[in-house]
Amino acid sequence: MLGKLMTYELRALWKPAAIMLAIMVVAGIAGTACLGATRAISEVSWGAYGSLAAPTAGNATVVLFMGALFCGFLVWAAVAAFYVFSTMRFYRTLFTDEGYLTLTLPVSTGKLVMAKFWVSYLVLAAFALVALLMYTLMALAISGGDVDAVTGVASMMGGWFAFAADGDGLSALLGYGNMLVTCAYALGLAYGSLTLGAWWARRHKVAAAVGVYLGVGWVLSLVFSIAGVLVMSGDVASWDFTLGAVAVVQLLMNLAVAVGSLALSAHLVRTKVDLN
Amino acid sequence: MSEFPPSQPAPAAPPTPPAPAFAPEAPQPAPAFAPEAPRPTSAFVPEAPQAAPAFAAPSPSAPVLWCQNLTKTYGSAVALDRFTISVPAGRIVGLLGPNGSGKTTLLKMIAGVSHPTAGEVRVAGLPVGPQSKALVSYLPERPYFSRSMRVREMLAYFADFYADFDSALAHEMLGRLGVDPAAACSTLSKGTVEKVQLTLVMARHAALYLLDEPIGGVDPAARDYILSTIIRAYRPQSTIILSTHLVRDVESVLDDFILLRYGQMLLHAPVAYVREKGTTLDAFFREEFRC
Repeated sequence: MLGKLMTYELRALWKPAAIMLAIMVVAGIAGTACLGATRAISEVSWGAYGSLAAPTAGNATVVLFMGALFCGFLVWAAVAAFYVFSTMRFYRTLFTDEGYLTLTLPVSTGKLVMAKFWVSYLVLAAFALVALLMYTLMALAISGGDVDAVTGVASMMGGWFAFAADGDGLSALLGYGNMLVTCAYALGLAYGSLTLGAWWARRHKVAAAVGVYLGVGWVLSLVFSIAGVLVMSGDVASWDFTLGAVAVVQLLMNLAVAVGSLALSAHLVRTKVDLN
Repeated sequence: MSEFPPSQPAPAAPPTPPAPAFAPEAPQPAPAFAPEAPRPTSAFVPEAPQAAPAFAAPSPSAPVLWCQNLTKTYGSAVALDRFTISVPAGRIVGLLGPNGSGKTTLLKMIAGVSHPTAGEVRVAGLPVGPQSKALVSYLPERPYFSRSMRVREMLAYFADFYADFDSALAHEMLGRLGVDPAAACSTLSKGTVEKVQLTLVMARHAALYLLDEPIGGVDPAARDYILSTIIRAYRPQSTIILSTHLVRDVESVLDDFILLRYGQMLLHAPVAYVREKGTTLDAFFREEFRC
């Protein structure tokens, strides 16, 4: 049954996923081209005039750089759009009229929730990796092919790991790992929040869910931000080790939030949430 | 709450219904689709179901539907109040009452899309869960399709998830009701959506059908076909709980009826009970709930 549920989830998500993926790839390539052209123009203008002040070259550089920024935003927006679409599908199929179809299936609520989670997570994680690839291409374009850009972009995804490691291969690996866990955290917390909203709120259930989501996310971010700053301002023997420890704790906490939210969601759907 | 007949003995879970206390209804007319066996003639069975562990198989000797002190409250409002009933296999039971009497709430709790505040529901001896849902075919009062799906995709969906779904029968019903399986759900009228949903629900070989306002939005011709053929004849061994305000239309297909008011059961009796009084169920209902 889990396989059938996942198949139907995939069928429902593949069209928007394909559209978003196409947007990401096109925007990523366009952004890379813009940044490559920016660099080329800069090099030419430096060669010809010895200065970036040449009016035409300067204007073109600004336009291309702004275009690259917009493309970078589009890549991020495509990931965010898929995330919102998949979480709203979770809400729509369980807590609106479509719930009458979903919740009367001879399947446990745990399987219902997990099927939705795994399909959305795998697609979202793939999207995040594609987005990282696009940003890496852009970084390579602006840096003139500097391979350090590859690990540099990846390590930026590592949260506190980025401060603990030195931008090498391990740092990049930690960045990828942290990004995948963050995807699970974001989806799990969204599912848990939407389920809580559907259970608690009499009206404006989605708004209540957004409030829970932002509240939990804000508290966790605040705690780990304070912890990181305290570590950096304190007298510790090894920054790398201590910040690494904070990063590991945050990673585990994110995983725990994801797993706990999914378990809570399945439990509430089975025992508490009533369809209107 | 008054359950009829008041002096009905309650033996412990016999495998077959006891002899009827009332004059049995006239034999059912021969259905168009050759039922496997005639409907039982008594609505009344023992009150105590076979206890079943959470993951047991359905018990053939247990009533198809058993509710004990089933209560649902929303804040201070009581939607259903200590509802207790036992329904055997093969009965068509009308769930009647004015707006807000708890009919939909009851069906939702049996189907598992709403949760009791107190009390218990069992379907064929099983608590509400994946196993009971495999035995229950529920038609809610509102459309539950994804508007992006086509009718044939809905048929495939049901065939995938319900082992008892009869695709050939579903296509036959859709043909009789004039519904194109290739049509997109977003293009269907309200009445056609109801026809499709009813087809999906009745094309299953379920033990218990829960139909919430199944004919409210369909045209009179289709209504006749739905009542006389789909509901009356297709499922002679199954139990059907049918909630509706169209009492006159459904009266001819009902074996028993339940009257609900303010979440409480006023009466549970065979339709023959009102006929013996020289009236119709529709007239009885109007008199009982006169504003």
